[in-house]
Amino acid sequence: MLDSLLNLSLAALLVGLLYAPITLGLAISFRLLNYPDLTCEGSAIIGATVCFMLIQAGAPSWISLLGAALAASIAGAFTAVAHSQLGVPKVLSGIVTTALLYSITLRLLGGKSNRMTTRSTVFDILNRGNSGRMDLVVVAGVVATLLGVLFFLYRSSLGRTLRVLGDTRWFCVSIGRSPTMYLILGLAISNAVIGLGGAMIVHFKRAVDVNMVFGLLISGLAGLVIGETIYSARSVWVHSAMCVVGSCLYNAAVGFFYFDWNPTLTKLMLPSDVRFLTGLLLIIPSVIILRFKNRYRLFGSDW
Amino acid sequence: MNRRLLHNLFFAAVGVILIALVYDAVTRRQASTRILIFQDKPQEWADALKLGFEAGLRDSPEGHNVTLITKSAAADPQAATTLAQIIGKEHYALVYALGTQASQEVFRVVKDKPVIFGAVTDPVAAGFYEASLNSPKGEITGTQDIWPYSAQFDLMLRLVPQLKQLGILYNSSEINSQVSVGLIEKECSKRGISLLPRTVTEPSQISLAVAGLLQSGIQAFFIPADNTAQGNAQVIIAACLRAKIPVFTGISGIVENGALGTVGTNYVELGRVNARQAIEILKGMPASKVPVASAASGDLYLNRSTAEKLGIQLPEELLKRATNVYR
Repeated sequence: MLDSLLNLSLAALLVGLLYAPITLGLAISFRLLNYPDLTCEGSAIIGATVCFMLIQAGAPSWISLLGAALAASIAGAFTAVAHSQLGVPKVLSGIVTTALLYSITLRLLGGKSNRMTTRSTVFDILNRGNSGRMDLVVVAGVVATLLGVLFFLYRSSLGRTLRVLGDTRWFCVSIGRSPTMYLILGLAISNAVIGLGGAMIVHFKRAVDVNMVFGLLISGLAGLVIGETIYSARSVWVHSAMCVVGSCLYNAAVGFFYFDWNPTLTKLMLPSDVRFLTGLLLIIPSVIILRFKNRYRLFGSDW
Repeated sequence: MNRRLLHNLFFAAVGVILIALVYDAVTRRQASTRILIFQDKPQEWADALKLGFEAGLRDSPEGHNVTLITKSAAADPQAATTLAQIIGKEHYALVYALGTQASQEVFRVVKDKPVIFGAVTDPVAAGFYEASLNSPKGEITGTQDIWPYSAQFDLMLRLVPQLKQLGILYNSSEINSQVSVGLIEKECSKRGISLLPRTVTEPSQISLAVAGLLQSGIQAFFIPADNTAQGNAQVIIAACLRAKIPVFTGISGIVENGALGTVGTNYVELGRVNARQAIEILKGMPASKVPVASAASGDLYLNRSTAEKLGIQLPEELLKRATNVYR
């Protein structure tokens, strides 16, 4: 079981880091911009699909990742335009984009729901032995690069303006910045990060599946909130780091009932009971932590 | 935090670690009899596969002392990835994955244990084989949920004994149809039936193609695993019924809509085939040497009102054996 616990931690770390870009992207839209952007599943799958097509076309890995981010940022910008120019309500704007993107994705994949890459992905190139440890290093490298880029974004005047827009919209107007333009830019950035996450999943799985983003929004938000619950960050970069930690912890909770740590329990429970137990596992620590600690509110958002 | 709490926590931790060490040693020793079933979401056909697999193992002496452990990702794709990572590191004699997605998820991670896949339509396209089913990329084998063509041809010859020319129609741009048509060709040449294939590229050409086939004197028509032909089954069935030519296919839904009959895939049976492969592997055969198989028999579906229109008498024995007789 000690073995299993170690395996669980390694698995949670790997999958948590793999899905961390989703949480980081959601942090930008839900926290920085204070915008309930539900484009997540759509931008992740369009990023994944574009990445897959670029890999199949023989493009280098970094181009496929950038292409995915670009395609997803267009999706995010579309959500913002739908809200600010066409007047679609905030929550609906993301849902609409996701719906549109589903059909586009299937078109791009030639009507097939599941396709396998025949060319080598970044994991095949950097991890020739195909060892689990090296996978972890590759994913960690990508997430560290992403965190670095976000660090510079948050320091820049663009990042600060986005925070101003999320906190008090009218102040954004008074400092002479257009809220509409910055909303479009902000959602484009947030969805580019999410699209990058989708692309990473394709590189890791060597396949794209239209169903693979199902439930991504929920797990991403879970990672975000868990990270904030266990440690109330007082700066944006610590907040980003906690998003990554939260994503890993969420995956540890999901995997907790998958390893055979108790044979009697394994025998008693139906395979489908895992999610119920995961839910319980997530409730208890949050209740304990929130009871004994005052949460510091870094952002004005209340999602 | 007070001292007493720390004290208790310390003893609890020591206890957990001790139990852990014992448990790990036990599972490592039992690994040779533990089989993991990996399911990515609850689905009817997957449950049927599992049922057949369990029954198949219980029926054989080698499968008696096997412990079956089922793990399900409960329809969460992200949890499936985590689960596959954990499975890759635990001790099992072999891993049985239900369906294409679950199998892909497991095969990428599990390198030191044999993998059996259940109900994968095209294992080559799924990435388990290099170019053909003879060159596996690892210790893997399993079952395909392709139609039981042999049983379907038996049914056709039973109901249309004078069958000499069989007409089929498919879309030349669909890759999966070519697999299906290839298997039909093989069955035809085995039984001395000449196959008259017609290819179309869009639905509007179907009526013309069917009319052409009926002109050339076919005794029966078969709708293969082709999306264009299946999507326009009504057009084909109507034209053939007018000419009193029976239509056969592989899907019960098309039989319900007027095709004469079919033998469809039975997933419990497919699970039993998987169990036989598992036993071969438990006996010590490498998984890459166990051939990929598909179910030999299936569920029988017939349509009584179509039979009456065609003037074909459905044998009593078939009606009794049928899973469903549509009216």
